[in-house]
Amino acid sequence: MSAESARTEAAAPKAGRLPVLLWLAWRFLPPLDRRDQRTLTWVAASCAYLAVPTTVGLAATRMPAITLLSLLCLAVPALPSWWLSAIRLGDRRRETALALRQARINTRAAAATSISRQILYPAVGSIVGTALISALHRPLGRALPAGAPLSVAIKESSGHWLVAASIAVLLLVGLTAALGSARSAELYRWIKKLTARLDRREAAPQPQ
Amino acid sequence: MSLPSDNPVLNAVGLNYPADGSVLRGAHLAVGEGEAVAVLGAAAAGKSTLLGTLCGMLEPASGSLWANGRPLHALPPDQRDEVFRRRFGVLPQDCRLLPELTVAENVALPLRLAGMTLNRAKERSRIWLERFEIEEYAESSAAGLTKPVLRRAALARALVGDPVVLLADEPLADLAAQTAEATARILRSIAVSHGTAVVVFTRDPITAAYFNRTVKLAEGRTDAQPASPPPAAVPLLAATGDARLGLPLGPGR
Repeated sequence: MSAESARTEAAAPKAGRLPVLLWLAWRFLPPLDRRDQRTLTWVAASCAYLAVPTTVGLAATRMPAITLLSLLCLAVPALPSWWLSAIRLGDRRRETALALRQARINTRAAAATSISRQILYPAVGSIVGTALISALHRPLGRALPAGAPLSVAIKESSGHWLVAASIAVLLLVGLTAALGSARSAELYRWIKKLTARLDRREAAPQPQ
Repeated sequence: MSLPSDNPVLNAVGLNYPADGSVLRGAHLAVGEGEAVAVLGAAAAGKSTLLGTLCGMLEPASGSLWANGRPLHALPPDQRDEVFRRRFGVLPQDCRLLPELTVAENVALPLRLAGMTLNRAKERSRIWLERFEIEEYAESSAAGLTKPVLRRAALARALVGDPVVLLADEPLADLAAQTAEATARILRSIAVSHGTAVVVFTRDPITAAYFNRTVKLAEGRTDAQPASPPPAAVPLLAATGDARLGLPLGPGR
């Protein structure tokens, strides 16, 4: 095959790029190794957990300060694992996008293709969490004592649990992407460095 | 001083980057069809930046860039990206493959994006893998590759689309002496057999010696003389390029 004919053949698109990009997005979904699997499990589990207070908060018609505080306290245990796994997910996305750009895919298409796992895993986790709270909010409302801070939000819900659940899923997926950004990763590393420095200072021997 | 090619496929004239010229100051480079050129420079001489400006990853603050007589600096960004994507093969220093795909799938990816069917693209990619003597890794995942294999696979990916220009940043790094020599021989033979203009960026004089011509790069300046842009293309530059992009005129004007 002559050089020019090969170039012409390569230049003539026989099928669209979209199926190839979709195929790539599909190939990026399964975890690559154990570490990857752990990250994806953590991000999905964190989103599932956070979906509960988020959906309750969005569905509530009335939100006294004590209820809001209770929902925030309920969310706190999942925040570190959510942030850390979102950062790892974001790092992987950026690496994938870079590799795609090296394979002559333009920046926009590379970003759109590499984002598949950053959407899927938080979305699956959030859907599981919202489905659970949507299904269980009535029995939970009955079980909670009348004076409990969360009973106000659960019992006095707007009734639009489906809307609240949909918004919660979108919100958690969006926030996971934001937490996976380069700036968020930089902030995390800065905090980590700062705490390590403080630890060292504490461990330094005191003058007699 | 290195003499420019008479009929350059790639012609960079007076590239500056960034605006204050702190990295590149009026770098010239002209490479003809079938020529294999090494750009030799110490660390921080501006090699990777020159590569970035030549392959469209970085936008030079001033200067002009021509490929096959077309003024790339005067083209709209979309058209320019398309030319870079279709006609240029690039091997960056930190070359990466997609670990989710096999080596053959990685190499075949540019062809698949250009519209070739999976089987044909894989067939073509195998030819290049055989040429670089890594065909036994074709069906291996790209995740656990050693650096020498990774670099040769990335070279195969850069060449599989039969580019007019190949820009390679340290293509022989991490390779054993024998493999490096064989890879350099392949690059030289590709330049001759495919008419590809091969430009290798290196800081190693031994690597540079493998290629037909050496252009020295120091403090953002090359020792190459600027080649004149084709006269037919000058009016296009005058009409669209300079005023819109704010680029200075080439030396032919």
